[in-house]
Amino acid sequence: MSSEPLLEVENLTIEYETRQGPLTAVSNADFTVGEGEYFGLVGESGCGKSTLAKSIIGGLDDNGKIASGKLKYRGEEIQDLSDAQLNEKIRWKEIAYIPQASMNSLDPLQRLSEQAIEIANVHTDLTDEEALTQFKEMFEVVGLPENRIRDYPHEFSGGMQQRAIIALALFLKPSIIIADEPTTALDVIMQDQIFKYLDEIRGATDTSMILITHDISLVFETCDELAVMHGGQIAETGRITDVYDNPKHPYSYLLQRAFPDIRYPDRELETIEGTPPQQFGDVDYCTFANRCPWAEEGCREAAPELEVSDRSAENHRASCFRSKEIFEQQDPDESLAAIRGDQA
Amino acid sequence: MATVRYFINRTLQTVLLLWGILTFLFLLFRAMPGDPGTLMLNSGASPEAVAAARARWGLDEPIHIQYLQYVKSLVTFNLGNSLTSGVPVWQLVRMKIFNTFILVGPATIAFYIIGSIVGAVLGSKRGTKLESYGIIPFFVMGTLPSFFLSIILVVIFAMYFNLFPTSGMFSPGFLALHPEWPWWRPYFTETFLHHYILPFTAVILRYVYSPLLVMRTSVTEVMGQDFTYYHRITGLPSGKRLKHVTKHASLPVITLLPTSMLQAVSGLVLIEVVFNWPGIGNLLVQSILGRDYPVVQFVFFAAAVSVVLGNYAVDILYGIIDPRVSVTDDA
Amino acid sequence: MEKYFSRSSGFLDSLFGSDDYVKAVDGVSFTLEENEVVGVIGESGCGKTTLLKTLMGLHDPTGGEIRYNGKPLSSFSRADWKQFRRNVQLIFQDPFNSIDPKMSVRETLKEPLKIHGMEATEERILDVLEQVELNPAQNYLDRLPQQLSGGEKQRVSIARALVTEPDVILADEPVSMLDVSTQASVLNLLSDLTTELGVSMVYISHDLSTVGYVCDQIKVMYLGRIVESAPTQALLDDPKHPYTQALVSAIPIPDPHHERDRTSIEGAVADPVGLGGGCRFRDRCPDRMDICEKTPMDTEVEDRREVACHLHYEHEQQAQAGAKIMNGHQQTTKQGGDD
Repeated sequence: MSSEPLLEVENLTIEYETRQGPLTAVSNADFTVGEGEYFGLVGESGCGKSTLAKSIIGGLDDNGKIASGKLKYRGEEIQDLSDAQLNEKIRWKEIAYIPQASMNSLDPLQRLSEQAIEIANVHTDLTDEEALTQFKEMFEVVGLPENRIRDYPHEFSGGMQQRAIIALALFLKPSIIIADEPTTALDVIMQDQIFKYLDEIRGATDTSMILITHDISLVFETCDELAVMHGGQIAETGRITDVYDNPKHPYSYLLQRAFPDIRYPDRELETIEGTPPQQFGDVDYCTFANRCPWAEEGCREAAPELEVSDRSAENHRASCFRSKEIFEQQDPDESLAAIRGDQA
Repeated sequence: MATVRYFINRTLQTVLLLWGILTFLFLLFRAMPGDPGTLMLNSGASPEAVAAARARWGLDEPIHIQYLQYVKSLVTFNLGNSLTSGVPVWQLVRMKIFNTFILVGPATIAFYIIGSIVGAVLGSKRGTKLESYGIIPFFVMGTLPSFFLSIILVVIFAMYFNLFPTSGMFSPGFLALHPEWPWWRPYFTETFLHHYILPFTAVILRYVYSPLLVMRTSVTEVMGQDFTYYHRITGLPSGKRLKHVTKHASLPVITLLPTSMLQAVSGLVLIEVVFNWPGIGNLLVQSILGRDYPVVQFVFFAAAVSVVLGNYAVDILYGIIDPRVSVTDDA
Repeated sequence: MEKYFSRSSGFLDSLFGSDDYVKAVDGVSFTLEENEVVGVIGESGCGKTTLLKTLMGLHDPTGGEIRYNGKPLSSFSRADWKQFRRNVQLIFQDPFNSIDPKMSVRETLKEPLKIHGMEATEERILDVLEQVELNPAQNYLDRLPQQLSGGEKQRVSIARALVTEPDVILADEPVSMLDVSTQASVLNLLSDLTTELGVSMVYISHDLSTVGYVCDQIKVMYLGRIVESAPTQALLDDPKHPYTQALVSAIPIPDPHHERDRTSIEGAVADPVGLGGGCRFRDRCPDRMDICEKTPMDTEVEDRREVACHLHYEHEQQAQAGAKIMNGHQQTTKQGGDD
């Protein structure tokens, strides 16, 4: 990775206040996103990826808070900024957000152009015309007809609403867009269209993107680097080719093999037993331990640190006590078969 | 964009509806057994007098002629005379309508505003003690029978504390003191205001719970919506966000308006009777008792019209506020 | 004995009066054999849910008919319907909303048995729980849905469908709301059930990458019509219809080394209201020709493969062949009438 880190997540822990005590949604997350980089945050439902994304722009629910750790944007700490400060410095101008199920995020009582103007007025000194010009530019980038910026959301189809939300996220030219499951409700052809536009944005601007998704194929096709999350912990992070060719964490190893590949429709798919735990209080164990075929007692006694696990790639890190053992000293396929054979 | 078409549609529908109502009422009254002539017979009039009366009222004409006369009379406000007082119906009724309106109108606006504000506050504080206990008094007042609530007000404030008069719109004999005044002058007097306050309060207390509860639920729901979250995420200041929330949350409240109006008008009958307020409700009661058909017929019609017009107003208002209703690319 | 659905149905929804209606399912015919799993693939809005509901008897077909064991649904007596409902079961898409949250697993499974007057023994219930691999079955009996994971809930759903020993299961996107780590096991389960228990299945989904694990035959639907029909492997290896080709090539591949071109298809699915005749994909088709204004017929291209596309047949010769095909499939929608 070439340039300055744009966004740094340092040992971030996020908790929710619940009646049963503090629920730890993210524990000690640590990764970096560089300029012009597309970064994928992958994990299954409930792993904390959405929470993490929301915390970056101060969008946590009322009962959520950053318990410890740092968020740095261009070197400056932003995790303690107030709402007003976030509005002034970060939101939309620097970091924009595309929420899940985006169609519902458009205010049905406002024209799209009005929503754009309102947002522009909060964050910039642009005149209404200037804001709309930029908005129209973005409409073009995402393939929407420019003359429809004055339409109401319900006049657009689902796929078009999605693209309108993307245009809204981009029009103030942020440095980072965070896209939270941007294509979940869309059909596969529309999904491909959206990603085509996201690719083009990359060409046209220097925007970085953090893509939050449960679908690892999207990350492998679109992103440069990724982080795999499980139960609030980052299991593995690094360049997509490194993580794919040399997985260093049992979860990312198994997860990749659980996804069907249309080129090999008969290939057997991996299953991962159990479900991620709900973590209350300090997480001082590996949250994957109860589902991991290679787990030992030590895995439940302390939380593994994200450490460099790959001599050839400095940013390829995994948080597993047994990473070297499983992936370098043995053949994971063989040991897995052996373990499963024993259990049968 | 089909907004104009939407409004024209609604207007035509409303006109059609009004016509349907007046025809229905016409048939309804003709279908009732007996007619004013029967009443005359019962009180001992001679058959010739009855026949003459019937001829005068046009009751001996074939039914379609009667219908046309009926429609004509409504349109020209030539509604015949009251059977009990001989005064032209319209003249009699219009003042009563005004009296009722002057009570219902401001009171409805008041309880809508109060209900919306309190409801919005409670809705945004959902789950707190304030909210759970806060709705109790409104609930209680809303479920009491309207005449009961009125009587309580009278007993407490008029009789016990002697703050207000117990009934009527003016002090007895007041109007006779100023025969030269134009019709609207008495409404601007202190005595009117004095008599006005209790019934006004009664209407508000009795009906405020309706918009309040709807607003409370609506606000809670709107605040949980994705677009509300999006407003927050895009950094809109809380003032603007509140404006948006209110806009959304007020939609169901507006829909409630015609129902509330109808409620108020019908409940008003009892309130008017308790306070002896000379409005249309009071008139209705008296004229039914006196079998004063022309009056009764017209009052029914007026009540129906007010509901229809209320609905029409809501449709128009909704069409302006919510583009999803009026703006579609096709039918 | 052959159990089959053979039907062709159109479904008209009168929306705004005469001209605007939605042909949700238009001229669909297929047969479900014993022990067969047929997949119906299509995007949202293509009509697959309407198709499912019509197969269930929840909608009456506007045209054509559905036959179960040779007998048309339209001529069912009450006893026939009772039998049908017992033998044709449904699995829903959303495991979170398709099980009554107030009922325990035991009660959820007993309910269909009671409705159909079958013996509701504990044994039978434990049996079916084991079949869906909820082990140890005993532990699950008293659990409430909120105590189950998404995958477990879906297995209970499947168990509920199996408990009456049906011939046919209609599955509406059974894995699309499950995490990918549990998808595989549920897919395997469904596949095993059909082979071991001899149950036939109609499997509806929008996800072509998982159908291969369960289905023998796939039918691709677009805006109410079946555009292609083929055995699974053949379809994935060599899709013939431009829509199927677009679908297959738009599926993301979980491999960073693989270069895939993004789709060239523009636009979105057309509005199903008031669609006229002609090929419904023509507004987005990269291979569109003039003749596509006319509705294409189903053509047999290979053994057990059919495509509804003008690219795949000669039009002069097809006049006579067309007549043959129409008779063979008992289509009751006249081709000419569509234009």
